[in-house]
Amino acid sequence: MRKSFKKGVLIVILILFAGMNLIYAQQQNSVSGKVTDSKSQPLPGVTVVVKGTMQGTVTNADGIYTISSISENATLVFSFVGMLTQEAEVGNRNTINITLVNDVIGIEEVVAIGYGTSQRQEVTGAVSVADLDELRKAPANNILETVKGAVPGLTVGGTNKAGQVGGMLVRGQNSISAGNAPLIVVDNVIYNGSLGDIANDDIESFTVLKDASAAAVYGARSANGVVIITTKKGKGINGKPEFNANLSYSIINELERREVYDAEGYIKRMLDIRALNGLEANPDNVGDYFVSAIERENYAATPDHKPTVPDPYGLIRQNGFNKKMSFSAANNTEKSAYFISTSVTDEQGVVINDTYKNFTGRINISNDFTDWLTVSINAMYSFRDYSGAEPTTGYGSTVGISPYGKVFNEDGSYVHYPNGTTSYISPFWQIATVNLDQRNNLNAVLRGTIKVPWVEGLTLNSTYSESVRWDETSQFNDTKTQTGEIDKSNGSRSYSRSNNMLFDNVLNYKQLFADKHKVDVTLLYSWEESSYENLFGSAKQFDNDVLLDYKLENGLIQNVNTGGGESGSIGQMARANYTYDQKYGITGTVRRDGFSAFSKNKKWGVFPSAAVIWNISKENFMDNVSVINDLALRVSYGKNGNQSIAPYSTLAKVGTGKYLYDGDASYSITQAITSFATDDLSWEETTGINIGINFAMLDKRLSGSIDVYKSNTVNQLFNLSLPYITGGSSIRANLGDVENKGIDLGLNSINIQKNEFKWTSDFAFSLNRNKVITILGEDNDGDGKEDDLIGSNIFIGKSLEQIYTYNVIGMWQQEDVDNGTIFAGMNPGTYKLEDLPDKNGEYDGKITSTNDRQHIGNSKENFRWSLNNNFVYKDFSLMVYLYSVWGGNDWYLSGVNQPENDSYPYREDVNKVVYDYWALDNTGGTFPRPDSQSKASVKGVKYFDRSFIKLQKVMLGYDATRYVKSTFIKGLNLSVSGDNLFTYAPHWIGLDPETNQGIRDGAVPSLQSFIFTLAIKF
Amino acid sequence: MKKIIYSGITLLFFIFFSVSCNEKELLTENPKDFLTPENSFTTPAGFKATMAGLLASTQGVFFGTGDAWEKFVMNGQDADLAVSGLSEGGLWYAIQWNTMNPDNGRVLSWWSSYYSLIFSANTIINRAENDIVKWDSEKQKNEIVGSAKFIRAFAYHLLANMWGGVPITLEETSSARFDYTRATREEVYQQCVEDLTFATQWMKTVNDGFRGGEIPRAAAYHILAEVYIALGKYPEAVQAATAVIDDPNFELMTERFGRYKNFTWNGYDYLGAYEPWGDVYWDLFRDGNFNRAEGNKEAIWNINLKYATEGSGYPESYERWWGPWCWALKDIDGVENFLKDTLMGRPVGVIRPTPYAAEQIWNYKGDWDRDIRNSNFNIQRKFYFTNPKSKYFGQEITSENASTVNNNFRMAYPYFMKFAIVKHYGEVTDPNSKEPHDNGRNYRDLYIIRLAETYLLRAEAYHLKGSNDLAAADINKVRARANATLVSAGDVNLDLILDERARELYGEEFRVNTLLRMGKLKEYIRKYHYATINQGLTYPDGGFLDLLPIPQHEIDANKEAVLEQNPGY
Repeated sequence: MRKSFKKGVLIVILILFAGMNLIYAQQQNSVSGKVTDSKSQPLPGVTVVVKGTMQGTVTNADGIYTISSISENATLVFSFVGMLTQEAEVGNRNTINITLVNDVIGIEEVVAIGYGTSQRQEVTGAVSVADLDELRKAPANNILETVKGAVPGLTVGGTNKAGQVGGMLVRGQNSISAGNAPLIVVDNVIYNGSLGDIANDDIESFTVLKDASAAAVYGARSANGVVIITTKKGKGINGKPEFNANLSYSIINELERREVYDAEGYIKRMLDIRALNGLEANPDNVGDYFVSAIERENYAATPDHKPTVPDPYGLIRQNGFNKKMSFSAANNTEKSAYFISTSVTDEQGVVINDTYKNFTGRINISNDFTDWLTVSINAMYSFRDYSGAEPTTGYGSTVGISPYGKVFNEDGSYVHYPNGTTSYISPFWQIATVNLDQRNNLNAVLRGTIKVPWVEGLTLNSTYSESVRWDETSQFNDTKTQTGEIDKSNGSRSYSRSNNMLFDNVLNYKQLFADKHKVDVTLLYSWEESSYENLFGSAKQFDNDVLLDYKLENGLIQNVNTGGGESGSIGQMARANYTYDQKYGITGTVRRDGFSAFSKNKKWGVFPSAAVIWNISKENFMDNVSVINDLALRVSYGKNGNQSIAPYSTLAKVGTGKYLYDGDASYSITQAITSFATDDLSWEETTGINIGINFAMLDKRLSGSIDVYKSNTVNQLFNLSLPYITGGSSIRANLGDVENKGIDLGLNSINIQKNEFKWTSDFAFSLNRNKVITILGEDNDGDGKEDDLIGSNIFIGKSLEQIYTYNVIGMWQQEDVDNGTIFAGMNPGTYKLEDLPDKNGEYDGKITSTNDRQHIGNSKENFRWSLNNNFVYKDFSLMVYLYSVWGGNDWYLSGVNQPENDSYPYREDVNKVVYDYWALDNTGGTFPRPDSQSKASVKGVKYFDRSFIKLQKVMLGYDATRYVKSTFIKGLNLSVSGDNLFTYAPHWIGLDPETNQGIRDGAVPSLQSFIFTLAIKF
Repeated sequence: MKKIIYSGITLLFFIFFSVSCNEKELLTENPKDFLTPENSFTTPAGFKATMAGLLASTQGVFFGTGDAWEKFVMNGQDADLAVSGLSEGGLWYAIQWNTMNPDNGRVLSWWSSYYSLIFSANTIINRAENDIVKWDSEKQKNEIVGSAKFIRAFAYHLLANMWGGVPITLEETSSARFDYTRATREEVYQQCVEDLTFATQWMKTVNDGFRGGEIPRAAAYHILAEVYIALGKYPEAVQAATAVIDDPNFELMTERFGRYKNFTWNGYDYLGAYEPWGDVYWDLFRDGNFNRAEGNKEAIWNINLKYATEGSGYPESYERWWGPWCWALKDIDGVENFLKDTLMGRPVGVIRPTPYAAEQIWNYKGDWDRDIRNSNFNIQRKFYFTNPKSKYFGQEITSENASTVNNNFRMAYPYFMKFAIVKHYGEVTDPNSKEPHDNGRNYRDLYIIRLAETYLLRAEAYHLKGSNDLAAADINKVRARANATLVSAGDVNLDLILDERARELYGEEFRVNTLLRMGKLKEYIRKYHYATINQGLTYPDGGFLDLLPIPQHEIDANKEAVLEQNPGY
């Protein structure tokens, strides 16, 4: 174990212990009673606590509770999940019976809106909150896997490697070249790290701010939306600590296994290729056809030609697993609370050396020191380990091993060229001897809240956060590896660290006047400093490499690379919200941002927004509409920025290098101007309007929200081509306008709710369209319309993901040669491309890039949806989660399926993934002949629709608490779940359409897991 | 009242936090790990570093930072000297001349790389005059400025030769500019004369603490001669070339020299007794023999590559691409040939000489067996089976005993041994023969200018001036060293000079530049390009290939002014 890892663990443990002694409790007299629901059924498990103390109990199976030693002026608090909490003053009563009523989810919900919270029904912007309680029933590595598909308007990318964290996108692509990832805010602090560092079980809420108005509080960084995460606060059981332990074990396999030719297929392919080359291809003479001596000998070795490598792909695959353990302890009193947790993950993917290990530790403590001062510390440490080199794909593809090749030498070492040709290097020669990749994240947030005495509603919140992230990687390739052989071993070690300090001061005034006028004003002054540094050392030419990368100076050629930098930013924000009688609400926000990386003349930006909400259901005329319980209309408009200018990128730079003068002992350092200053470069600006409706109907059995939006992102950071005469190639400029519009829909329904059976459904749907309005604004071809930027794949009036290329309309066949219709330069078995008429309506009988490319579709999806069904019967629960991304009508196309363009597709002595190629006896093949690279003067690409519906998660749970009630255990849940179980993709060929892995030598299978989980509460 | 006080105190706190950081300082960027133009051009050391950078870029531009094909095409591949070696039917490999158009990527790559050199040279030339630079002496300044002006002129002379009149920019560009217009070809050449005249006064001579990888003053005279020829100023051209030729520091090598002068070997069949191997022309191209320090007095300007040494550039890859794929051939029984270390290495047979370069020029005056440049040492024409397992081991490869499965066209064609290496470093071991090789990428110097070319330049100037006798004398200087039959004044014409360049400078000179300068590119492609002859490819008259097209990228990007296209495109 690495020293830094140990140090990190130590720090976390120290922090954990530091919080323990904050909790205290006191006691005094006796009362009992029965708790029932609105149908007079007893409610077991209701928490009954003496207000302001840790004293309390839980109702038994008959809903009965008893509390002794209680004073007359005490108040009892009755709470139960899904019910409205009730309070009762004890007075001189000895029996207090209580009826709890259902709490319809959402009504009293408090929503994080950035620099504060708001009542769900008063939120003016487009804000989505993930229902983590439901979604987290099926365990997942990180929060993004949990919420994938379930939040309308939030896109989470697919993953296919152990520990991989998917990408995020809120409502479509705004920016052409700057980033499109949303801003992440964790516990009120802007978070620059990976969500893979935050333990899934630590997260209390996951909120997405989608429209300009909601996100506007984050100004220059909010154009791509904001994800707000809060971690759990302390909460105990009856004044005693609550302990939670979750253990899970997953069996991981490929969603779909890669198929590589076995001996029979390999030989068939060899014969096909020979036949195409006009060579003899007699199945009886196969033994003579092998190009390499190794294959020939191995083929001849046994009378039945037993393959030496019956399952070539099997050599690089392994059985995957995921072991996960998390543990938390929490408690709260009137004045203090703590939540302490730790989790450990050990995962292994399906390709050898694909491993992932993760440790996280967290402590969240808060304490009310006085009536007016609360201090909290949220601290976390995370360690992620991706060490282990996988066999690289590409040139030395993992699929190329011949069934008659020789993988191992007699001494067990790997053969360099298993097929006997130097064109194919063993995948095992691509595996680094040492490959270390460890990422650490240590983060602490200190927060002081001052409720100003005597001034009700006025609070000052100061938040100070410090995070340190450090990554360590090292690599060594000994002489038994491809690059190590050439370099006489090579190795490197690198270390990078970044620090981030944030100091937020928020002044908030929240008051209700005359019971109707609610005012909420927030002022922010925020100040942030970041710095980073990195150190990289490498060496090669080792005479003795036994010390590996620990002693790089033993290599004759050494290289050192160091760097660092810093950035600072300032944010000033004012937000005012006024609500009249919960009926009308208006929010106005303005944020001013300064950022050091902004160019010299544009250091500050201002981002205003406004939004209104009208709770129609509160109007008198709605009183008689009993079908509708809640109905609110929201409208918002505002401007956000996309900061995305990297530090120092607007300055003129001088780069350095090395040059060796012959005769000198060592190199000289060189310098050259490498970039021009861009003094007026500005951030991208997104201005958007959002109209939304929230509703609940049929006794709140059906509720949801619909949002429609439109936004325009102008001042796109665009690389404007310079004449090379300037000495440069391009310069970044602010140009253009990209429009996004779409619909987000979320529906929640309680389908059946009867005694012991409940069925609920959650449906999410998102549709987004983007369109380039303008970029350069130039019309050089004089057609009266702005010119497309074909080289950058940007087309005015079309989506950013437009596909403009040749249209494959079939395959050339021998008949086309015989009757003379085949185009020059083409051969049977190559793609037939559509010849388009020229300006005069004439067909020129050849394929040219100027005349025959056309808009054949779009690589963007048409829409996304998910449907989550939850069934609860007695102690059983079942969750079935479907997820879909759908194209149709030329949408969601992918051109990734080009097996004919992998390396050496025409070589019979390099194995391939199994695919349906054109051959003399297979003229209906989907893909062109193996040697099409040299047989087609113009090459096309076949596009396939990636549309899919996935049975993403199924979870069957059983609450076994009643069997352990007599013990100290307070809750026991068992579950079996499956992730990524089945994909229905009617138009796709190959591996997972979601990760866009089709038929290619380098395609990586997606992971499918079966998970066994044990959750214990005590 | 209390309420007001508390509110006031809170507000004060808030304001205090809000002003406690220095906004201006926080928002100002102070670079930490890179230099800026402001702080890096203030001392002579900074200028020396920039000059080293310019030399490194020059090396990269002409010989690549990878296996860049621009350099091979520049050497005449896919033109008159060499063609695609892959197959008999292969038309073009790296550039397609018959459909040349303004979108051609190679043409853009040449253009942009020459202008990038001009940009860097301008930064030195302009900023050297800045008052804040404390030069030790005027000489120190001018030596660096002179070298920068040489590189600027070198780039401009290529631009003028290849495109004619191009935009002239002599000031460092510091921000976007879109309004360039073309100067005349004369003006560009005139600018070169001005820069080169300065360079010939101030650049280092080879006696002046000269290091390998620097450019000596003689190179400026050499290029000046070429520019004067282009300007039609032949006496001046003769004078400039003479400055090099008469410089006692330079002479054609006529005796065996260097590292391998006593080399013995058993020959291309790798069998039999060892015997002395090589001649003086062969010695010129051996690793370790390129620099003045190593006894080579013919070299004027080299690029400089050292194995396993930081600061050395990307290895040269002539062996890999210009040599035949002989080691991968199989005998008729399917037994692989062996890759050998000595004078073979690992070529992959992609660039093959045209019949013009491989046969025709060597028959001139019946010199086939006389001209040492066509000796068995310098061009390997016979190939042998080198695998002892083969039935034909030690025998010459013929169409009868070689397997036809593989493409023999690519396997055995004349291998110019100036591309071969005597002994490889052995980065890789061949799996079949267990011999070491470097994947065809070698660390060895290369010539950019060699004195033999200066003689041929002066011969061209004499010829154009009308002094064919003097021209013949210069050509004969080169031929005599090669033991070739001398030519007479009556033999001299531009074609003879181009033939002699091909014989002497195959794979070295910037052939495309020379042909365009002489206005002979199209003629020579028509006459000597393999596929053009076999397939009857046509090349329109009227401007096409007289000059290269101005890249469309430049015309498009230069949106505030019109860059005229050359005629014929």
